[in-house]
This record gives sequence, C-alpha cells and structure tokens, in this order.
Amino acid sequence: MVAFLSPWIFGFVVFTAGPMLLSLYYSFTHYDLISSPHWIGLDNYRYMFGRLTLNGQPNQGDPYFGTAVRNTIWIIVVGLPLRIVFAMATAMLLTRPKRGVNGYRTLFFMPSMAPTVGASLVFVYLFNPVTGPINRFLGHLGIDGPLWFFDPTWAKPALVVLGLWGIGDAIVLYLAGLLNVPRDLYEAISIEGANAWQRFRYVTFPMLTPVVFFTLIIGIIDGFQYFDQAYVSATTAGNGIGDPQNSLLFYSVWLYEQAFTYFHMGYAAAMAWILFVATMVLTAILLLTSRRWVHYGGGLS
Amino acid sequence: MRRRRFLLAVANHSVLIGVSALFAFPVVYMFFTAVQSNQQALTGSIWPHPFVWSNFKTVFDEVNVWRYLWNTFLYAGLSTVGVVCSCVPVAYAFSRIDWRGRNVVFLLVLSTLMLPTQVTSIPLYILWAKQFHDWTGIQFIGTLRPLIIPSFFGDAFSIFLLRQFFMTIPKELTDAIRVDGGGHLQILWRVVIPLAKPAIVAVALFNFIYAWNDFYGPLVYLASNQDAQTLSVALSSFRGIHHVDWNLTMAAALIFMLPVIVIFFLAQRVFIEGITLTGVKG
Amino acid sequence: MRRMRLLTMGALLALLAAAGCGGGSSNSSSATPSSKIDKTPVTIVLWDMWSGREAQPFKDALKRFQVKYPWITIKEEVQPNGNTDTFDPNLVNAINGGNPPDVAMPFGPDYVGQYCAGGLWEDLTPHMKADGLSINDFAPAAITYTNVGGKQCALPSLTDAYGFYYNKDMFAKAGISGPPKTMDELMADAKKLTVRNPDGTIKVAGFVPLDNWEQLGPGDLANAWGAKWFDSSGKPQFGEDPGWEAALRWQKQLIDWYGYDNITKFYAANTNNEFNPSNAFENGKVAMMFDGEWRTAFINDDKHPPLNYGTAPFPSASDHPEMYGPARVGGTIVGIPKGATHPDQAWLLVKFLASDTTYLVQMANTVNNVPTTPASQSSPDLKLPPQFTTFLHVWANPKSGFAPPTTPSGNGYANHLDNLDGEWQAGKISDADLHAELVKLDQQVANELAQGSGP
Repeated sequence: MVAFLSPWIFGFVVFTAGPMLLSLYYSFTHYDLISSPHWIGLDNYRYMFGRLTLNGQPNQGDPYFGTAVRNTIWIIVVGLPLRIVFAMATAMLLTRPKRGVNGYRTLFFMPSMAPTVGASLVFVYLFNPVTGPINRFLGHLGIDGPLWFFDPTWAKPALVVLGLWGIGDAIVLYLAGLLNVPRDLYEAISIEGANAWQRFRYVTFPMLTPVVFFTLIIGIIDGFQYFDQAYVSATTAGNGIGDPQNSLLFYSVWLYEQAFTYFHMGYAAAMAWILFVATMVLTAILLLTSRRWVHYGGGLS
Repeated sequence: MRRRRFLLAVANHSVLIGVSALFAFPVVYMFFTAVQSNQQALTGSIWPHPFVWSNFKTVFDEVNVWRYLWNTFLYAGLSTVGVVCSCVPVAYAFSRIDWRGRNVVFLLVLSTLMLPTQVTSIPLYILWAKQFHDWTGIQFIGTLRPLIIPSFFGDAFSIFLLRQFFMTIPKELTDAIRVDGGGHLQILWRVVIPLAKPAIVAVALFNFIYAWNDFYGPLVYLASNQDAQTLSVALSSFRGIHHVDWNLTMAAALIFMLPVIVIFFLAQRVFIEGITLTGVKG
Repeated sequence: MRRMRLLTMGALLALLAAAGCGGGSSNSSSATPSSKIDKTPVTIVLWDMWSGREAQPFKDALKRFQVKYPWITIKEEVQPNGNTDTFDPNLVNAINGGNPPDVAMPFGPDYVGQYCAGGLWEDLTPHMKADGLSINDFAPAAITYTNVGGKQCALPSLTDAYGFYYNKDMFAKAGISGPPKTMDELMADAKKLTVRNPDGTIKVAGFVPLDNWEQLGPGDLANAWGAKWFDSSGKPQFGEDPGWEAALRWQKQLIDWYGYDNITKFYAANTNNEFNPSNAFENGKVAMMFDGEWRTAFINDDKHPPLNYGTAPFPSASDHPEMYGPARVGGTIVGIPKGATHPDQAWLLVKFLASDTTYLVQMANTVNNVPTTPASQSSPDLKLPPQFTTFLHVWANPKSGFAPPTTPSGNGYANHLDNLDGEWQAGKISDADLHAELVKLDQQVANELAQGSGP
C-alpha cells in the first residue's frame, strides 16, 4: 500500500508541505517580501476580526474582511447548486439523441476551455448595459435591463451566468457518470412500471452520487478560491478590484490585494489559513456524511 | 410509433440546438470581434465592417506562435503523462485497499487543494530558485521544469476523480483475482485500469487542458526566459504602453483554444466508447 | 567632537580606498565613472514590456546602444503586459530568488516605494555622482516618483503628463470663448455643452465627472483645490484638508445634474473605447476631458470625424489659482535590481534609457510620451502636435508630481479612496455623512500603512 502511495508522499513532502508550513509561519509574522519576516504573534488574526490596537486606537480591523467573506459565500451558495443542476440536466439531454452527439458535446465543452481572461472580457462586453447584446435583446422584449457589471446588485449574477457558461467540464463528468449506469437497472425498474421521475430518483440519481459528491467538494474548494473571473471583470469594467462598490470583492481577490499590492504577506497568509480551516471543516463534514447518501457500485466505501 | 420517435428526436434536437446556441453565442461573438478592425472592436456593432481576416495573420506576425506552441505541447504532454502515471496507483490505494487512517490521509490529499496559491506560490518559487538549485545543481527557474516535475508526484484533483470512479468497480471482479492468488498490482493492471479507462482518459484530458490553459505557472517561472514561454502567456495581451488591441486579443484567444477543441473532439470518442462498453457490461 | 572627526577621517579613507580600487562592483559610497568602466564583453539582461508595434522601434533604439557600447550585449526579456501588473511581482520574485535582470524598465512607478525604501533596487546616487548626473536635471517633478526614503533608485524614461482637452468647435457653437480656468467655470461649461436625447439619456456629455472615466480620479479633482494626501509626518489628510470634501461635493453636484443612472449608462457605453479609435472625445461624444499627453497622437492617427481641439491645464478652484498649471505626472522608470550580475554595465543602459537625447526623441515620437530631459524637449527632431506643448509645461511645473504619493508600502492605499468615491457617487453616503466618512478614510489608510511599516 505504501508503495502505491509513495509518489504522492514524496511530492507532498518536497513540494507541498514546505510551502504550506512556511505560509503558516508567515501568518504569525509581519512580512513585506522585502525584509525578513518579523514575528508578531496573533496580531494578523486580531486585525482580521477587528480586535487589534493600532496607532493607539483599539478595535481596528480589516474594513473589507466581512465583505469578502459574504461575497464568497454568496457565489458558492448561488452558483454551485445551479452548476450541478444544469450540468446534470444537460448531460442527460446529451444521452438522448443518436446522431450528432459529438458535435453537441464539443460545443458544450468548448467554452470551458476559453482562457479566463478572454472569457471574462467577452462577458463584460456581452453584459454591457448599453452596447451589449444581452440588454439590447431584453430591450426588444420591453425590459429595461439592469446595469450588470456597473451595478453592485447585478455584478455577481452576471458572474454566475459566466460560471454557467463554463460548466462544460462538469457536463463531461456527469455524462461519464450517466453512461456508467448499468442498463439492467433501468430494465428492472421499467418492468415494475416506473415513470421518468421514478427512474431518475431511484436509479439515475443514486448512481450519479459519486460524481455529485466530486463536483460538490471541488466546487466548494474552487468557490472559496474564486479569483480570475472576478478580478478581470472588476478591473475591466470598473475601477479596480471589487468594483462596483466592493460587490466583486471575493475572499481570494482581497487576499491577492493584501499580498501583492499592499505587501502584507503575513496578513494574506493568515487569511489563507482561515480559509483553509473553513474549507477543511466543510469538506471533512461532507466526507464523513457521504456514506449516507453516496452510493458506490462495489468498492469499499 | 415511428412518427412518435421522429417527433421525440426533433424535440430533443431542438432543445439541444437551443442550448448549444446559448453556449456558442459568446464564442461566435469572440469570432466576430476577432475579425473586426480596432476601430470597431467592442463598440456595440457586432457585424464586422470591414472583415479584417488579416488579424489572425497579425497575431502570428507579432507573436512567435510556433515556438510557444511547441513549449505548450511539451508542458501539457509531459505533465499529463506524469499525472496519469502517478495518480492511478495512488487513487487505487485510496479506493481498493482498506487500511487504517485512509480517510484521514485522503483528507490530507484534498487539503493540498485548499490553500490559496497566492501564499504558497512565493515560498515555492524561492524553493525552486534557491534550495532545489543548491541541492541538485540544476537550473529550474526560467524553464518548464518546476511545472512538469511535480506532476509526476500526484495531483489531488486527479486522485480524487480516479478514486470516485475506482470505487464504483464491483468487488466481485477484484475478488476473482484474489482467489487466483493475485496481489494488488495484478488487480490494478488486469481489472481496475481496463474498467476505468474512461475515467483515466478523462483525467488525461483534464490535465492536458489544465496545463494548456495554465497562465500563472508559466508567467511566474518563465519571466526570466521568455523564449521558453507558453502560448497562454504569449497570447494574453496585445497592449502597448497606451493602446489596447481588443480585436487581436480575441483572435489570439481563438487561436489558443483551437488545438484543444480539436483534441477534445477526437478524444471524446475514446472516452465515450469506453464508458458505453462498461455500462453494457454492468 | 574628536570622535566624530576620527569617524569622518575613517570614512574619507574608506572612500579613497574604494575609489583607488578602480572598476568592479559599486559599493555604497562610490562608483566608477562611465568612461572608466571595464570593457570585457558581457551580456546584460533587460526586462521591459515593449511589444506589438512598439517592439521594433525599441529594439532599434537598443541597437544604437550596442553601437555606442559594442562590448555589451543586451538580452531583452519582453514581459507580458496584461490587464493587471504582473511585471513588478515577477521582478520582486526574481530579486528575492537571486536571479534578477540587470536592468528593469516597468511602465509605471507603482512599486517604486518598495524598490527604493526596501532596497530591492540599487541606489543610483553613486553612479550619478560619478557621471555628474542629478535628478534635478530632469524636472522638479521627477524626484516624486523615483526617490523614496531618501534613496534615488530609479530614473525616469519618458513620462506621462495630464491636462485638459476641449472641443473647440463645440465651444464656438455654445459661445464659450476659451477653456475654463476654474472649477466653477468647468461645471457651467459642462452643463452648457451637454446635449440630451429626447428620452433623457445623454447624447453628448459636457464633462464626465465619474471616477475612472478614462484617466480621471478623485485625486485629480482634489488637486484643483491643492488638497494634500499626507502631511509632513505621513498622516492622511482626507478628513483634514478641506480640498477633498470640496472636490467630492463638486463631483456629486455634476453627477446629480446628469442623473446618476444616465451618466453611468453613458460611462458604460463608452468606457471600453478609451484606447481605441471609437473614443468618446475623438468622436464628439464628450466635450471636455482630463487625459494624458498620448491622446494628441491618437487624435492625429485615428480615423474619426474632424476634430478641432485644444489643450490647456486642468482648471483649478477659484480660490486656488496657484493650482492652475500643475497636474499629475509620472511614467516609465528604469533601475538596477539588487543582485544584478553586472551593475556597472547596467548603469550604462539605465543612463542611456533615461538621458540619451536621440533615444528619448525617437521613442517620444513613436509612443507620444513626454520627453523627460530639457535637451530632448528642445530637440528639433521632435515631431509632436502643437497641442502637446501644454504637457511639456505640466511636466516642468514645480508643483506637479506623481499621485497617489508613493510610500515605502507602495500606493495601494488609494484603493480605499476609490471605494469611498464609488459609494459617494452612487449616493450610498449622504451629504451629512461625507465628512465623517472622510475622517474614517484617514483611519483606514493610516491602518493600512501602519500594518505595512510595522515595528
């Protein structure tokens, strides 16, 4: 067993553990990437939660930490379920036709391969409230479209649409999962006279749960680190990160700013480790409760 | 009956065409912008006046696409080989072998995905620049090595994916080998890998695409040696000190996506055929 | 007293000893004059961002350097120039990793605080002294973005300067005789020159006062009132200096006259075209704007309806006539990263890029930046439009400087100001609360910098 694991163990020790532990160390220091790290204990964490005395003033804290957390939770709670549902539904659509499937599949998959910078730029353009096609189309329907990336209430929904456009990779996984379902199970349940919904509920969905579990966990991990699209669209449409009015200030975006614009590497490391703990706790809970709802065909679960 | 089947087929296709149109629209949009003049790009008029097909040629003139293409293939190809070779045995250990602490170590594997790269990228860079260079005498910065080498030592995303698929393989099939006196290596080689071929192809495809699209890795490690740069970085910006060429940016993005789309189109047959066979077997 | 004299003697002896050692690496107190630098063939590495149609003109300029110093080969690593700055973080990585280039040439001085005060770039003073070069040879404003914490770690190489553009035909049609000199006149002219569509949306905007409309920022408006960012002890002045509040209120007044939704829609429709020929000002959609000197070249080269325009200094507040003339300046800098393999030869390239008249004139003609030395400004080969002269004056004005002011922790703190302005523009901060919010901003920026400097 160890022999099988050895490549990963070596990689973890050499490439991963070192930088991870070093960043943990940084989180207890003041480090500006220029001079050596300087130990300050829990001060970074105190600043994060508004409990630090700075310049003689007590209870000073990061003014945007709460905003960053809220924005990130929003995009996960709204975006992830939509992603899973749409990917599953589209994959099911793709199992139906007999001809031309290769073409459709490629079309669905193609957007997820667009470089994120290019894709974000296109979406900022498509959602331009005056010149973009989306609002022009809504205008034909008589709807006065919102200001999208120029309005703090609509910027995140626009990003959710961008995320849904890129679900091609999830579609491929669900498709693989769907095609993996043993046909005799469908035959058995049809004999008992089940309808489409019952087929889905008692055969399709349970057999898909390993894939759902995968996309759920990966979706949460990636969601907490959501960066590229938010950064590019905010800096293109708006004034800078988080624009408009901090509606696109996600946790990783704020972390990046702290590390590379303000040179507060120690504080950024503290933010990173808080994120790590949160993700770990959530993943552990999901992993431990997975036995209840994830059905593996025959392995040792 | 035949008529009903025909109508059903039409209904299916209509929905699919509708959804495909939604997916394809932004790419079509990118294409129109790519053949517009700089005057027109991103102004709101979609149909190009005139059609500047030469934009694609300009991209090739301004950027040495062939050299960067080769670098990118090298990176994507080698790292895909590395990931597949290293992740299959590791995923096997997490799914088909029962051992104490398996879940805890698996959580550790997943944990490597959870720390934002912004804080590990700099210590890692320093490791490659200083420690690894001092210990081995090999020059890592300015080459693709820091990106390719770790892929031979496992990747948490791929391990997770393979583990999920390996777990769906019925125990009876592996027990058969056990009865014959075979060890884990035999089970892996004769049962698991053949059955999980679609998952392995999926992992290979995802890793190839990930490496192809990887922007930050090459950006950081090849800053001091732009000759070894990859296409994702080379095609990322068409800006001067005071101007932006949106049309060229879109043209370059399309050129960049094309090889991967072709590979996907060809690879999906292998991938899907593999799954269908598995499904029928049950 | 006696001890000090001994120390001074010791320092003098050290200096003499170092000078006597001749060519080689520079120590902190002296450097080899250019004429005496070692002539063994070397290759030096240069990081810059000249790509696309600017790549070849720059390479041609480097060839001239090669002719002048044939034993020095330049390996140019052209860094990607994207939406966001990746040049500087990569450079910091390379310096910390021990493999920096010999010369670095970023397009902007945003990191100059860390480079100079943090010691990531070499102090150029010894080299400059050895060659008789002073930062004041460029312009009074040059020092504001090349010297932080007393360390002169960079030199300017061409620069940007900002001023006021106005559409003369529109002015004539509206009966306005000349460009506005005060902010009150600017507001009045903006209202006069605005044309609305029948449905109330804006067809032609007199002046767009929104933050991030092209190059405009709240700091530029506040500059009209001479508002200070920090006092001499480094304390933020957003709440103390009345100029900030005055500027923000002026801005809001004009936004409200347009209607926030209207002006935001206008902004959204045109913001993508800042750098392409469909630019709003060039196409007669905006009557007046704050912009940089490169716009004159764009107006010349782009295809658009005939544009009769003028340039002038940006208006100042009526009670601050001394602020009519100076504006924001700053741009490309060159320097030698710490740990460069060949710092002496690197200095030759830095000097060339900063002060070689032919180089500055050629590149100024190509990219339309402000030539930074008096010699290049008065060169007969300079082919810049007549409207460009305004910017030469802005660069030379002793009150001009780089904004937001650089600190040893950089200038990221200005994001907080942009955030406040974003909320103020949208009406999320009420009139009564503005002053209190500005005082809070002082605290936020002070915290940001306190976190940065540390014990």
